[in-house]
Amino acid sequence: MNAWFSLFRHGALTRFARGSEWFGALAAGGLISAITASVWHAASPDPRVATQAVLGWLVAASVAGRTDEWLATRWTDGGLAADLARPVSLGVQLLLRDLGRAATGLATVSLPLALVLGARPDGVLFLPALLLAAVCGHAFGLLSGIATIGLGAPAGTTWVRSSLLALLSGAAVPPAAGGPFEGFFVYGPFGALAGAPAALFTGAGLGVLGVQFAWVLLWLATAHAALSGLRDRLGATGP
Amino acid sequence: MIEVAGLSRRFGDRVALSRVDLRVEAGAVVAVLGANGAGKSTLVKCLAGVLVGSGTVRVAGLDPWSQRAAAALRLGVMFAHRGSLWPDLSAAEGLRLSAALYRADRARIEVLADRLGVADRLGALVRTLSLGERVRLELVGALLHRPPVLLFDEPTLGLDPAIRTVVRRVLREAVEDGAALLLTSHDLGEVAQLADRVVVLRDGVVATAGTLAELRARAGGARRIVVTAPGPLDDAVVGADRRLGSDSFELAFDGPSGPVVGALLARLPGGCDLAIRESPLDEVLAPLYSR
Repeated sequence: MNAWFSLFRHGALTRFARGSEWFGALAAGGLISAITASVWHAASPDPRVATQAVLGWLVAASVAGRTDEWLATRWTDGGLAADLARPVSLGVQLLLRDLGRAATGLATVSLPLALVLGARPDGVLFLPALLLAAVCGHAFGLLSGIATIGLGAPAGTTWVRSSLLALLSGAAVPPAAGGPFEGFFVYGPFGALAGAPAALFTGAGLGVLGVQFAWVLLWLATAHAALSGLRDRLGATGP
Repeated sequence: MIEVAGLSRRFGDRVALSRVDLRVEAGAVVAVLGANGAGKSTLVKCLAGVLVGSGTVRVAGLDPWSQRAAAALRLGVMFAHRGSLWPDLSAAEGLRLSAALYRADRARIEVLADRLGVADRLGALVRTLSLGERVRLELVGALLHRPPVLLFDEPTLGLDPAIRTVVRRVLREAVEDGAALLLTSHDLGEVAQLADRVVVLRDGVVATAGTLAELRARAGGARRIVVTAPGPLDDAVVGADRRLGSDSFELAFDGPSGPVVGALLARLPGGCDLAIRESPLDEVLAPLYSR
């Protein structure tokens, strides 16, 4: 347990290891979500829309790990051998680190910014959804990293991953403004990242959590199975 | 203790290791030598459980492939220049993580760092450390949990002589405390100082193995006589031996020196100086890498 907590703590520490990341998260996060909320508020009279715009975007940004970048870099320079030699599996190492990163971002940036920008929760069901969002962010970061390595570590995979997920998860379009896509953003396979916590924040029911729990389990199992399948290739590369 | 029997490993069509047998007893050091690409790093990775091969491998009595986590707790591993410390955090943070992962006493961090002369660098960010500082702190991490088996892939690569000496001293102490050490190296001086036995890999196969003295004897030309004359030497006098300068040459030989020196004196002019020395290790062993 001590080892697991240490990995979580490491993830939390690395999130803001560089001062620029603090500045970027707070300043850019606040600015972009404020502008996004204003635009959506002007576009829709539904009071949930602006709130979901703030919360969805901030959650998706906080739980988006950089596992793909990290995996590709460590794979290229051969450093993954050291990680694979540890007594805790690489998958567990990455999961706990990503959870630590996400927890720090959610607790110190996303939720304070959301409250500062005027978003008020309708109940507390969104809190467990934040944990699902963090696990989901880890799974997509890992899958993106595996794809990066499978494609020979090209540049730009991180951008593709974050853009696609922003579009499909409800981070860019608040579920309440999604029209026929509202159900997809809340109950769909990518909803745990943004749409579901945002919908729960504005009053959605327990069923959303149940559906997203199932999706997140599926993504997590898929990502870790893919990582296990790639293990040999991860360990073989290096100078 | 490390026991390897019939270890083989392929990467696609390429054979990286083929039926490798070796054994490292507790308190002993075996150096694995070989040209680049001979399979040394693959061997270390297989022993560390990073890669899986075929054959039988036991480290500290455990199978690192099927009992990976348990075996990892008994291993101290260091891969050349490929660190386990995270660049954006302090060395102390990274080592505290290692202590937690390997169930080691955190107090050992300070003790080992002090012995390796890097205690004052524990608070520094890893990315700001020099290579020598980083390698010594990685060594702290590898020894933290007092592992009975040490696997070191080129541990002193790129380090200055003073730091190499410190690293060798700490490794030697760990071995004297009972650890089995397998290291790979291209530094034959280091091998001569540390290793009890040597295994030479060639294209993934054990080309030869034994003590350095045995390898010297097997390779031939284990000793040399350097002849320095008071003036220039004719080619006829030097003959087929290796000229070092206008007034000097050397010849390699094995066995007793008496007959060789006797024959030499018969062909030399008066006033020559003769010095007998061991042949440089790299010149003795290099042919074994590719023969």
